[in-house]
Amino acid sequence: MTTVISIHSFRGGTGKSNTTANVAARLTAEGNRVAVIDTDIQSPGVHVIFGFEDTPEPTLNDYLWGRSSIAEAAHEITDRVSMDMTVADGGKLWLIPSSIKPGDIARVLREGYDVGTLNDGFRTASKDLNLDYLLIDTHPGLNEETLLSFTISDVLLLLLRPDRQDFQGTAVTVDVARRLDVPNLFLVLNKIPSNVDVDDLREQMTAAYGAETAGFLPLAEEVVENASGGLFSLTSPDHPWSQEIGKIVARIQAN
Amino acid sequence: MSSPSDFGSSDSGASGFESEPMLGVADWTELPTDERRCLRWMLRTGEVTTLQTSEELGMDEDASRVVLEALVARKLAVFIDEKIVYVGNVGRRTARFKPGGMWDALADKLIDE
Repeated sequence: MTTVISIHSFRGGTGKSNTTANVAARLTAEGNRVAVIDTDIQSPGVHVIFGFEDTPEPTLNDYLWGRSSIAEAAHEITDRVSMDMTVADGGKLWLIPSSIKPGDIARVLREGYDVGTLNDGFRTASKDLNLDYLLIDTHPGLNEETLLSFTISDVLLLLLRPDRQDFQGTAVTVDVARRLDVPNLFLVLNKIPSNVDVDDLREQMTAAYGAETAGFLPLAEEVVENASGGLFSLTSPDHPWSQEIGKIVARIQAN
Repeated sequence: MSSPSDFGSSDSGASGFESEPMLGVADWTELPTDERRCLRWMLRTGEVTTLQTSEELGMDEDASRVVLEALVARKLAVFIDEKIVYVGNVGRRTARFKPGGMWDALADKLIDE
């Protein structure tokens, strides 16, 4: 059975897509069959981290509008991992991108789409690709699609920064996720300044949210300079940021 | 929890079902526990029977049928054939309201390109 993982944050700019791409890449390298689906249809971006200037076609948009099957919109991109890290036998990675074309985004805003079809796509992709993991890169905030992804997920990774707006918004999201009976909820704190005591932060997070923090990603100049230009945890595996990605992957797999 | 009759529905036909679900996704948090568990499982599984549902929910078949029928009454599930098969009804996402003239500003030609 596919493990469905949603990566979400209440606000934008927390590092969802970067985390999604790097977690997916590391899961693939360990020999898993992994797909990433970009459901941030209004502002897609995870394809950039995998090295695509334009989104491969067909896209999730094409599937939602009945122009392609979900399998056709799933592009195998294992080579994006194997160029920087050895992939264990059986490891494969697919990307189901959302279109970056202005016309396609405008159409989604104007016409909407069938959320039921999106959910069917999750299920069909999991079955047809025989996935071990399906990672859903979500739009920030609480809306119909993000709530749907919460509902069907086995694991919810909630990203936040050490920022008061993020803390407050995450509290709301944790409450909603619990009401939707998400089986496994983990927090990931990103962009942590170097002068912050992580152990103290861990205690505060647990006390505040009653949830485990799976990763404490440091605010690192090297990651900023990478600027979504590739899979940082593969090109710099010994960096503290990459090691935290490894901890997140290990925590996911421990379930 | 509101009753199904409190809500109106519109027929979009987009998903092939007769009418829109009565409850939005956000309302699922207010469903009774068994219905919420059942809906969650159905969304992951697709078509289900009462027997499968009873095994998943850990209840007898009659009790699982009650849960499924409750979801049907809320238009969150559809009974689709004689084998008592149900499927979750998530429904269509409506397009967002936009202020007048916004599409002029965006230029419809974006869509035509």
